Amino acid sequence: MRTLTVWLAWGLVLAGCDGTGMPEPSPEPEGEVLTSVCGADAEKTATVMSGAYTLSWQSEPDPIPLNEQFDLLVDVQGADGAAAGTVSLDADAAMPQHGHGMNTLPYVEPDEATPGRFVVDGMQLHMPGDWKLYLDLTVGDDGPTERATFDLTCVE
Amino acid sequence: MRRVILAWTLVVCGGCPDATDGSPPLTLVEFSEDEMRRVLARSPLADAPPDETNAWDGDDDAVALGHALFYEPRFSSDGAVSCATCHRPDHGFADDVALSETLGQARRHTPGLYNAAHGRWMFWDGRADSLWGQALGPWENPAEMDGDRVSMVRTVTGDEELRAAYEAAFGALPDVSDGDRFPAHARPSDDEDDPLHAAWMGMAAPDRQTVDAVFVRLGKAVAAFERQIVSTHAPFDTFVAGLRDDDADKTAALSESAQRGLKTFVGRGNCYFCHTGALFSDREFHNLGMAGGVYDLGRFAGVLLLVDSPFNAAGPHSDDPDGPRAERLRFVTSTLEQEGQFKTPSLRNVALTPPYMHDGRFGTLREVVHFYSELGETPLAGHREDVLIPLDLSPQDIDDLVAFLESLTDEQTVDARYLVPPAP
Ligand code: HEC
Ligand code: HEC
Ligand SMILES: [Cu+2]
Repeated sequence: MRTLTVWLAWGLVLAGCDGTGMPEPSPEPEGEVLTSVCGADAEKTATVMSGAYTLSWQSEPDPIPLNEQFDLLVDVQGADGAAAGTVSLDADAAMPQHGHGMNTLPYVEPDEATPGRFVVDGMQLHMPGDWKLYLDLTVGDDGPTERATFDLTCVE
Repeated sequence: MRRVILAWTLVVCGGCPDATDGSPPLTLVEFSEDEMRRVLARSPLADAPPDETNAWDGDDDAVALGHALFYEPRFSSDGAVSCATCHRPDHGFADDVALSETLGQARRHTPGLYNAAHGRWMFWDGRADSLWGQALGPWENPAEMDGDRVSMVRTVTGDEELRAAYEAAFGALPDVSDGDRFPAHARPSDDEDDPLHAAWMGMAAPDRQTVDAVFVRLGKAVAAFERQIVSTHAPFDTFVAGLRDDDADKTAALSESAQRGLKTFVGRGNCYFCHTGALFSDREFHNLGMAGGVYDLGRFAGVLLLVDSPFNAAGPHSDDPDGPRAERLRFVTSTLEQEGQFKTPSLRNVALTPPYMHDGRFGTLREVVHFYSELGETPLAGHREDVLIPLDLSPQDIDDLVAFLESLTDEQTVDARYLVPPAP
């Protein structure tokens, strides 16, 4: 088996490779805990119902921490930025490749202060790997409903 | 994060002619970028997060009292069983039999307690959400210590040392000497026929509250003690420190076999999906789809018990009923998906604590790894998570994984005083 030397010092790595004098980074604090996050470069906007509505979300905290609870703020806009009218939202997430969802049951509430905004409380992506975030938009009291799906990868 | 990403430029130029510089190699096994990131995420283990629901968490007087209570057999109905009877300090604070036999037979296997303060949920089914809420269970469980809270308060009041230790931490004890108001034995119970339940219900509500207040504080003292049961400096941690420090003397703490096992753990073995972070546990619940054994709904029932418990993080005895721990309770759920799920155990000190799993079905680590390799039959309860696929490990692969799991052992960090009852 080929043996690989693992060098974690950035300066050494570069120097070892091409000998150019690159600036050395400041040393990281000892015992630093690596933070694991989800969806660092995820798409955060989608349109549903042939473009009649635009959904966009942001997480609190941002980025989404792996295996910790977080909230989503979801803004729903009608075409041309018009207010969304009577719509409701459902939120869920799952790892389809693993055949499981979240261990939490989130609640969705309209944000009274901001028209078209919903607050999703109690999301938690407990496992590293590929998740799907599902935002289901329902227009009026009894539909139609259409789902916007976002890819979120959790990296440990 | 930055350091690791930058460091991996190295992989790209892994073939640098004089990358080794003549110095000994840091690792004996080649790790991919993803694997190495996961290795680094598994050490060091930070301090357990504070438990705001326990105002005495971290209080030295509470630790001293909790130390005594953990080893205290007089709380049991036969005066012979303490927490340490099942959670044996010489066995990683676990029991060495599948199901502990004391005043009855425990329903599930007695787990180890190293680093238990890191837990988000307690018990295999997570029916408690703090160490103090957990501790109140075994004291009164008829199959475990079979004690009762009224006599516990009396035992503490009547014992000079326990009384002094209690009052140092919590202040004056109430007077429970009036036998008309405080029967000799009384506890609430789900079993309506339990005579102790009738005795408890016969007490005046304020007197019950008086007893509960002391009972809960005893739990909070034990919890403060349990936070001291830590294990953070295993050979694996030395290995990771060596990776960070570029120190081959340190990375030599893991044999080549253990390094191969580690690579399987963070790679094709998929172990890293659930045994995450430096605790080697996501502190959450999964269904491994183990067949046979006793039908056990696991987390499904645990959620219902937790939400109903007067001793949960949002309840009247919590010191932070609106805090983050209580907040978690709002979002727990009990659906078909929770059926047959059990808490992912930490793997630190796992070699000390056979047998394994919630029912103690496997006698050795080799048997556990063999299970993950084969998986086998249809589960009794719920459905197995699809991340688990038969790994078809060779005997060598299995040896390697076991060697790696054994490298997670550290019994030196814990203060040796805590492995025995307090000196009189
Ligand atoms: C009769 C044996 C027995 C006694 C005595 C006992 N326990 Fe346990 N303990 C168990 C068993 C069995 C479990 C797992 C039960 C379950 O999950 O349903 C457990 C679980 C625990 C857990 C949860 C650990 C985790 O990571 O989920 C803690 C903490 C604990 N016990 C502490 C204590 C304390 C403190 C005492 C004394 C007040 C005590 N135990 C007394 C058998 C015992
Ligand atoms: C899907 C999540 C998941 C994956 C993947 C997983 N584990 Fe586990 N592991 C668990 C859970 C949950 C338990 C406890 C199950 C029970 O008792 O029913 C457990 C138990 C164990 C135990 C027994 C610990 C004890 O104290 O009883 C060991 C050892 C272990 N796993 C090692 C591994 C190894 C090695 C791998 C990879 C080959 C692995 N696990 C993959 C979730 C997982
Ligand atoms: Cu998954």
